[in-house]
Amino acid sequence: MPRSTSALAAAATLVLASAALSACGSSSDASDSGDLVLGASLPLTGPLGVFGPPIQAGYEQAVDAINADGGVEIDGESYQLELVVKDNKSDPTVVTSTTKSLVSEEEAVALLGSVTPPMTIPFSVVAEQEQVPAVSPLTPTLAWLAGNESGWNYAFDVFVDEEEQTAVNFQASDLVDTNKKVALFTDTGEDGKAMGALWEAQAAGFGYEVVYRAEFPVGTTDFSQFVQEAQAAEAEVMIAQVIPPDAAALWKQMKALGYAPKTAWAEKGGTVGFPQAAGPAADGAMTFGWWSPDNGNVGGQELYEANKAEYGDGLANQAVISAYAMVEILADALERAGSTDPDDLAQAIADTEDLDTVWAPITFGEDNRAIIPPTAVQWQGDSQVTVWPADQATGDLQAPPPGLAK
Amino acid sequence: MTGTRRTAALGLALTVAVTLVLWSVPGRVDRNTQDLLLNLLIWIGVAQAWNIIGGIGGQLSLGHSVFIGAGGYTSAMLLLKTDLGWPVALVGAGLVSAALAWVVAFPLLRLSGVAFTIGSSALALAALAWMVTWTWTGESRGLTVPLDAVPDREAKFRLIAVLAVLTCVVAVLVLRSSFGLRLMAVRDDERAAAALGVPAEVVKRRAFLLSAGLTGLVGAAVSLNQVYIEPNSMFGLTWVVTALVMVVVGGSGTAEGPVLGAFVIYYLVNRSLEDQPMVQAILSGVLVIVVIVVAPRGIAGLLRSGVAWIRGRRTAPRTMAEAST
Amino acid sequence: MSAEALLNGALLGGLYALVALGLSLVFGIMRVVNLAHGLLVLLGAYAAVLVTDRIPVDPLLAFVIVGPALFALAAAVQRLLLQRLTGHSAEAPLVATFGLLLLGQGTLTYAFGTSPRSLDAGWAQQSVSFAGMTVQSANLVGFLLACAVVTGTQLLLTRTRFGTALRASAADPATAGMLGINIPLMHALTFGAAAAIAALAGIVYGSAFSVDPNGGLPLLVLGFTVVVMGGVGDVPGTLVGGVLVGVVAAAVGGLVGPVYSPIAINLLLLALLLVRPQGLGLRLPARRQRPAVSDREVVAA
Repeated sequence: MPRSTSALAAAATLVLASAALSACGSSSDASDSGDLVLGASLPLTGPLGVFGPPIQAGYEQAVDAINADGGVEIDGESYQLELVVKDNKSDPTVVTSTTKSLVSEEEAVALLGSVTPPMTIPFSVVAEQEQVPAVSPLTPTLAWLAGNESGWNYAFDVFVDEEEQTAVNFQASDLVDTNKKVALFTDTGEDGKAMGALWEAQAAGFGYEVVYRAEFPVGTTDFSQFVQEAQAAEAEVMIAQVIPPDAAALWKQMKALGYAPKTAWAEKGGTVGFPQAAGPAADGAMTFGWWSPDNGNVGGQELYEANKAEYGDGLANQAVISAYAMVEILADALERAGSTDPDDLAQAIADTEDLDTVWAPITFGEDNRAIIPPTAVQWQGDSQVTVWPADQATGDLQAPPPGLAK
Repeated sequence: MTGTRRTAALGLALTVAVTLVLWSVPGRVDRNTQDLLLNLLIWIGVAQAWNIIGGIGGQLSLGHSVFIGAGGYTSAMLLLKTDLGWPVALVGAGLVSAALAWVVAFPLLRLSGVAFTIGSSALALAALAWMVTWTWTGESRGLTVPLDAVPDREAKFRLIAVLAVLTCVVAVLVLRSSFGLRLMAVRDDERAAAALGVPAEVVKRRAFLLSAGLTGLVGAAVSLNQVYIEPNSMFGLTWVVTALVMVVVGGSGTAEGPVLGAFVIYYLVNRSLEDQPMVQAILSGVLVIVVIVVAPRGIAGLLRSGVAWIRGRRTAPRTMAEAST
Repeated sequence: MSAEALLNGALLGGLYALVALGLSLVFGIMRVVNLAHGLLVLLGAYAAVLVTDRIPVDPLLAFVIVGPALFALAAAVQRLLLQRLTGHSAEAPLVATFGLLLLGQGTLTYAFGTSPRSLDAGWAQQSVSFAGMTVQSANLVGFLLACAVVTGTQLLLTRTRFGTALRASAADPATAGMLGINIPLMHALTFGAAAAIAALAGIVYGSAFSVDPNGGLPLLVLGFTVVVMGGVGDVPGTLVGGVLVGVVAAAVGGLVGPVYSPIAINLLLLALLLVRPQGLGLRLPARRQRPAVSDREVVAA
């Protein structure tokens, strides 16, 4: 009966595969050791891969520091923390599967998130479904909030509020004398659309006028005619929100075509490693930042200095700090909750008020957001210097950006 | 006659048995194993559905991401805009995907070989570019399915198990039917098949519709499982490229190949190594190359040669010859 | 939208043609769809990064080292890996090159990280003005190089004994083999040359834009688009295809908005496939396992 072979074979494989999985998939030793597992799903590879390693470093260093200090004390007993990191390849589908396996396989008591709404929303959705508390750094909070209309219960987000963040571009541009004309280059990514709308809405309030806006698909390389149009519109403030390779192409073309606005913002794309990506043209490019030595943090400067060798002087290092603070928040909440019960822990996180961390004082609002005040940073050589607000500045704004003006 | 009937009865019994085993999984294994099986079953569904047109039909479609996306978005939109519930959303997703396939088949199936492959990928890329700008479906922000409209963990698992079994049953039925014979004849030599009176385009169109409809159903299940969907992960080429690799590694054009391939690629490579991304990327590349060098006809081909060798034959029977016995 | 924008797009098409030419040659001569072609472009750029990090020369000069290195690597891969797979099925080499893409992507991520890198070339950050129009010099350099490489390849294929042998081995491998043409050698040389051209494209691409380890697939898709528009195996057609892609992207970008450029390009590609599938040379079903009579006039004669 050769005709039935394929059916038989298919069924047999299905059963065998299931059996193999049941046999070898179930053993997990994490829970046996008595350590509390914190699970992190991070973009270590893929388009967002630049953000994964500094976040991982922040989580690791915080866990090590807390463990060295005796661990977390819950109801009179000390527990060590154990960090489990899984790569989500910058793919929302993989975020879902890795986060689920962090809960079911690693039995994580709490989850640690990463960057951008496309990563953090599916991550937070799993937290809600599995009812495990989760905190994320580096995800703009309004977009995150909009990701679940029924409101977040177990998931929390600590980062800037986009309305404050998009205001920074205008507030910091006030440091130099410009004609207040703005050109916007945004991509079709979720954040490109949202921020683009906010810049357009907010410009007038700060006395600026958007004279040119172009919207690009992710992966655009040829910006020349749009650069020329922004130039023709005499925009002296240029704000771009595109991914890193596109930002590199855009900056090189601005330089080639001689477009040197007074302030040039490479949001998202110029956050990390921009000098390697765009070459000398990157010098002077600006982005918003989220930490400064004088923003009210406790112990942040020390951590920042310790990570300078590996993560440089700039936003990669600031990402280390943000991630570190997530573990501080969880450790504090675990001790206050006095148990690892998810509901108690979520409640304790929600109750966090004015907690001193390496990042900034943390307080969660009703909507599970903790808002961090944004700053403005500028690439000067291989460092990103905080240039705004004035009382937190670590250097002076260079305008027009030397990389484009020369 | 009795032989055919006995085979059919055996096949039915097998299907029922496998379904029952999978049906009883929730509650009997720990959550981790259940999650793992769930993802594996999704991949089996995607790979097997692709196998119908790509393997059995020999039309290497890179456009199937469109049907994952169409299925996922249809079900998400139905759950967001109506109160019809997920079973209706699922059926709607399958129908919309099949209807979409019916429309795009007009241009696509006029192409064959590499032209079809490139044409289908162009279609998928155009669809992706459109979806990130389409305001009605949430453009690049994506959609979040209301959590209370999603079936619970057990129901979701059983649904996906049934879908995976369904795709496998359909693949077996296609392989054993005269329709499948015509499809393989077209795959192996379109002109010769036409000369023998096989209407190539009709046969390919049916296989394409069947494959797309099943892919749409799995896409809907993906959106129920994910809850949050956005264009790049639903319409991106990752789905179809991974399915292609699974099918070829497992054994293209066989019923067991996609199952084997999904197991090897999803479980042995992706899942086991997700905490070591660099090793995973490099190893999956090496594995794909090694498998294709050692077994150019996939693991299923290798196994069949092994079985044939044990039976004392010198070479494995070819798919065509075997199917027509 | 201005004439300037169209001219820039057309010149940029030269770079697109450079990216696509190797893909076209490999498919035209070897019947292999090389999914790792975009990776070869990336390898060229990354290898040039390594060279220019050590020796401060213009990235284009680094081609003297990078070109031969990639030629050798690719020829070896063809002889040791892909050669074994020809004759099994059309999918086998396809899947093997996909494995190479994964492997290369992983290795590049491991070696260079996921952040984009770029080459610092003076000519890539200037512009040239003539007749009241300003174009980027990077696009001009890419276009001139593409013209030179396309012309050279075409002359080699049509005017030399070697080219004749190559075309013969493409049209009818069995007969060519009997006539004493060393087919595996021909294929190794073709694959190597395709890689060297890809490396040159990578250097220009990395200088004008930037590269990152995930760029292999997008570059491959770009290559396919150009190849199909120009006609597979049609060497001068590659330049036509590249320019067409550049001009259409610029025109749609200027008239409707850049968001619609990829939609327009992909729909145009599909339309071209439908309207002129024969004329574009894509007449071989991927499944065909024995050479047919119609294979003969695939490579432009």
